[in-house]
Amino acid sequence: MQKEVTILIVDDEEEIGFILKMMLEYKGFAVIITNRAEPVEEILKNNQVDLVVLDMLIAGVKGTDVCVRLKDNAATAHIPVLMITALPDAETVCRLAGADDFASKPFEMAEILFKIDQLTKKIQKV
Amino acid sequence: MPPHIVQAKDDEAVLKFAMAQLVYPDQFMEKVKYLCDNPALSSIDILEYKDGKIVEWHGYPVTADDGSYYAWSWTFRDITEIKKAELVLRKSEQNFRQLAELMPDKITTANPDGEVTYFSNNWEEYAGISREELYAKGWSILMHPDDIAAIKKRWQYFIETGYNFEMEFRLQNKEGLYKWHLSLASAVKDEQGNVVKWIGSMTEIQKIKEEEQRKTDFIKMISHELKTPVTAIKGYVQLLLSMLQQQNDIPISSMPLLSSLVHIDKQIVRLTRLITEMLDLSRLEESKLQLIIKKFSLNNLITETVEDIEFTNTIHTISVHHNFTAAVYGDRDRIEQVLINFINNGIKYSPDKSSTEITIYAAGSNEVAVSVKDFGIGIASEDQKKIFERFYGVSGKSEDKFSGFGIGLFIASEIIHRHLGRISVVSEPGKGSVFTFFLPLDN
Repeated sequence: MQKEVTILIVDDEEEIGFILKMMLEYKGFAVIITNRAEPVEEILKNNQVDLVVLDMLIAGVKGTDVCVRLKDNAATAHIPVLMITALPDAETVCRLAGADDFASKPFEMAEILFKIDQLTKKIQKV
Repeated sequence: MPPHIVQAKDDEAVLKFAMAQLVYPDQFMEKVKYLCDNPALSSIDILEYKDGKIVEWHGYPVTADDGSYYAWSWTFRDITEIKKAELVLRKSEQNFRQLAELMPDKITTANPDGEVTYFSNNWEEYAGISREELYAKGWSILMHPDDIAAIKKRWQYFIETGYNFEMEFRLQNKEGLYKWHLSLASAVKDEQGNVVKWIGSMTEIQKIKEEEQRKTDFIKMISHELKTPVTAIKGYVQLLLSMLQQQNDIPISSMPLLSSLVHIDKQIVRLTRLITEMLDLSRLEESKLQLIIKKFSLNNLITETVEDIEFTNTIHTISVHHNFTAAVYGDRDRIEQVLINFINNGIKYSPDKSSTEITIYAAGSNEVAVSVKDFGIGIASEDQKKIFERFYGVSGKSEDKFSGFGIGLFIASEIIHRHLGRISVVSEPGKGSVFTFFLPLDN
């Protein structure tokens, strides 16, 4: 039987976090959710997380900074990061920060699921 | 000179004729005598004729082989046109200076090498240092350290090519603050196309820059704020659709229908509020906000508005003190909008407190005041004036509980001003705020 894939959602917009969680759980993922950037490392340390969905603005903290931090840290660098944002023209910035993929709000649920699927498959192959 | 005088070969007659033409004949005679006494001298003099002609008079001694002086050579050149041109030039230079001193911009001229030859007095006023110091040290002392290299590069290119110069950079004012300027310069060329001098102007564009920045931030914020509820609504709808399409797996009764619809409805309310704010703002900008003026009871308006708000918000308690009864002329819906804005702000910025007080009272004999007092986070004194400005509060506040465009108070203040009223705030950080609007009482 396939191992359950765990996703961490980091978004200060509770509504977005909530609907993403509902959607991903419905699709069979295990979901952890936080609306602040500070505890991300702590959560990753204590849980077996397979992918991070990271908003670009989390209550005043830049998501790109969080992404750089994760990618610079040997303990977390391997975890794929999917960045999401409502800000215009943000893809390049996110890619530069080391994000593995990117989706802009308002996104299609199918798009998010497809990208999560791709990123987690890649990880399992490795 | 008339031919009969020339032909007469009479020195006396020539001299007499010449003197009759001159404006200052005595000066001329004095010079002639002086030259007679000092035969070795050369001379250049300007002679002014009564008919306006100006003549340059050159005198040279003529020497014999033994070195003795035996004659003079006098030549006369009509320089009237040259002098007139010089006068026009001087007049034009004067006009230029006057114009330069009048303009609010800082004006500079420079010689072809780029060395500054003139600073208008606005430079002194702006920089708080004398022109002498500016000439001595150059205006580069006012440049922002980060801009110097780029300015010098562009300036060099400008001097070499003679193309028009246009650049935005920062200059330090007398308070030591750097303000953005738009600098324009162009070459003044002679008929052969050689650069004679450069003329440049500096216009302070700090306010425009700030406004541009606020607009950019505002558009970013609109995009962010509007997309969030749309994303949530889309998410719920797509989740339900995807569940319904696989009905065989899940019975409808176990789908999160009710909770999804409640969330969708909440997000639509949020979206509607944002769109209304935006429309109000654009109408204000186009001055299309039409007021429908009728007499109405301010007390009734307050009572009804509070009832409406309490219907949707059961957590906060709003107490109303009718210390004065007033009917005013105004647009009831717009005044209601201001009141709703005040009350909602009170609620929004009081996350830990749950009461708001509204008081209606007479302010002097000409005005009625309505104040809304909350016990929330308050506003720092330096921010109190700015909160009535457009887009203020947009940047730096991404916390969900304070979401919005930061234009509610700007709209409120515009509405009250168009009613010939005024608006005020008294606040202390950590203690709360009192927002008050005053409307004129119609006697």
